[in-house]
Amino acid sequence: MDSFEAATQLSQILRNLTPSIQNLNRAARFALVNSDKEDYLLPTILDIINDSKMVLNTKSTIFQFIDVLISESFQYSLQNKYSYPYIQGLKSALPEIIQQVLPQANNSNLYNTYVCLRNISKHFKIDCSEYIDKFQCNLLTEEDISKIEGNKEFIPEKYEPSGDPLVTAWKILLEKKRQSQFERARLLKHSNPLDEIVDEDEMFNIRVKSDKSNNLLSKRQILSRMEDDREAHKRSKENLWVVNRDKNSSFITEQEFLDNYWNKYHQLNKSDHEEFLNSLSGLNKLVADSYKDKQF
Amino acid sequence: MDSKENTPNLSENGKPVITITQISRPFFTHSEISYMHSQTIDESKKLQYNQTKYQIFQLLYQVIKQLKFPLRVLATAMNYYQRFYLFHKFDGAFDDMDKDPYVVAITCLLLASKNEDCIKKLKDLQSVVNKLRDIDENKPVTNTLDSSGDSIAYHELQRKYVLATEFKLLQLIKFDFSNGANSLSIKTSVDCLLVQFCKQLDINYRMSILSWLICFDIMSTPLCLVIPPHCIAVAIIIISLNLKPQEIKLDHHEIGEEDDDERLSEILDSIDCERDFKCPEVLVNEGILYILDYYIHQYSHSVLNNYLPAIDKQLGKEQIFKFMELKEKFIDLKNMNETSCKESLNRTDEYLSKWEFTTASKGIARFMLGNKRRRFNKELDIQG
Repeated sequence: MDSFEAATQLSQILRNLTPSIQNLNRAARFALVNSDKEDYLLPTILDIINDSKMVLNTKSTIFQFIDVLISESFQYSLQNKYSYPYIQGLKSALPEIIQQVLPQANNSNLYNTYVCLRNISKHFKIDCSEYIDKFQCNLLTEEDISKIEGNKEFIPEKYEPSGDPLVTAWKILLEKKRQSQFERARLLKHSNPLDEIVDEDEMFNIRVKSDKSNNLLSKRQILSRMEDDREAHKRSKENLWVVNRDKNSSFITEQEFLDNYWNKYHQLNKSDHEEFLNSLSGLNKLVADSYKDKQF
Repeated sequence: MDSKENTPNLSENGKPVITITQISRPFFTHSEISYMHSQTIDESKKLQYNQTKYQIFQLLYQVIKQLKFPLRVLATAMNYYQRFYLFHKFDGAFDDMDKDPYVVAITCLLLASKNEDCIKKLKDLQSVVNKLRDIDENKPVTNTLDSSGDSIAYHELQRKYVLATEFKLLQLIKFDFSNGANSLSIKTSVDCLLVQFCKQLDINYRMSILSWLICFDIMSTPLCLVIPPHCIAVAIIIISLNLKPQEIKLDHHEIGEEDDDERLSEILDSIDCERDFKCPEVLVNEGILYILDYYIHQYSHSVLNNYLPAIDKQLGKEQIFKFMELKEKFIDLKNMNETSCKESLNRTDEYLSKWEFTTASKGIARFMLGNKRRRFNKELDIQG
């Protein structure tokens, strides 16, 4: 396969990508096998991300593909099969990619992008825990709150492409998160809730038919997105529970206790502890009903 | 007015339909369990039942190791396996898939992996189990589910039986999934609760791992059918703190753990199972006595045996004597109330008899959790 053919094929794969793990892996595998043509394939990936005709759902899926690709590239390079293809190129393009996946007018990819960026960050030496924590916090400033009071538009801050692209990517993401918090607060403050029953078509009718900007989702896209996100969520849970055990030991080992119990569990704070005890009391009700005689 | 609609107990042609309501009872007293076993396991098969159980649990441990499942999947699978034979006849016929305990074991693992939110495909479970048992999955066998006598690949037939058994198992656990990872917003498996409790009590590394090892041993016993997980966890902690062995074969150590004895005694004295962990005392007592009995009889087969030295230095005797000493100490603990579990009463209780799987297809069988029962009281009264 020559470079041109490989690029066309990858472009075809990415344009029709669905977020099931098999498809993502297959696409990443294709890119890795042809990593000698990275000079052609990397621009292909970026072209698709930058293509204004691509729907947002697909862009989100492609970002998930980038997440998988980076992780696989690291994994196989550690086994000396490749020499870290795509990593540098994708990393320096991250700010640009994030801006495409999260356009100004639409935040529907926010959470997925966060999850992927968090996965990607694990592979690099830069400590991103500060940004991960911040993403969960209230990012609104005093100024924002007074703007919300005055029902004013959100004005994004211009980002300065300085420092490491990964850090810049996080900054853009946090800015988008702030925007989404701002817009939600503004909406809650200044519009009235509907009491009437809204029929389904009207509810989904966010995008006007004549709007060709691809920034808002149609009903079909929303439904397929729900399906896709379910798939992505399933994927994220698939390996959470994995416990690696020593092959040579025929019974449980100290290491399992250390990794999966001792270092994982911590003393609960007061409110969590209360909730924990409440759950146990709830359990007692089931237990008491199980015996014929009164035990306690 | 009652807002809940009653289920019609008349069929369309006016004939009454059998309705059976099965309330989930996750826990039974020891005498109920031995009564149920007497119904499902012939006297002559008792030894075989125990041996098979031991072999199957060993196998399950190898399976979860290969599939990288956490221990709670193993614990739930073993719980299901033992629950299954409370209500289902044990034949021990390995060549007949309908009665094969290994089919039951795969089914238990399948359902446990679902309930514990660690989902694997049945095909993957089968292939690991069959490989460990040295069975060629692809060999053609006669399709015993089909009268035509055609042959079918072993794993395909096995799959059909597993899925049929799964439906049986669901009826036997009364569709009660409350011991799983998702209920109650906390993980209710003994291993997880135990370590959380140890952290709450600020128990050191050495005693925590001792408790965890005991927990692994107790996981395979029927104690999980008798008392709830939090009571098992507290019972284990109390025993560990009483044992307080000076030597455990460990690779990791915490600084200062040698001088921790006094503090551990204080922790032990301060434990109030009701206040600290919402554990009814009588159930914890039951657990303590059961666990001590287990080690008195099975110590040489236990995992703990691999971690403790053969002779206890303080006592100058074999470890087993330590458990006997403790048993002596705890002999006067108040046991569970079994007034209504006499043999003669058990015989009249249909809930404890073998479950007829045809019931559900003949009439209406409804399964519910104990605490949801009140909702249907009115309806049950009507039926008298």
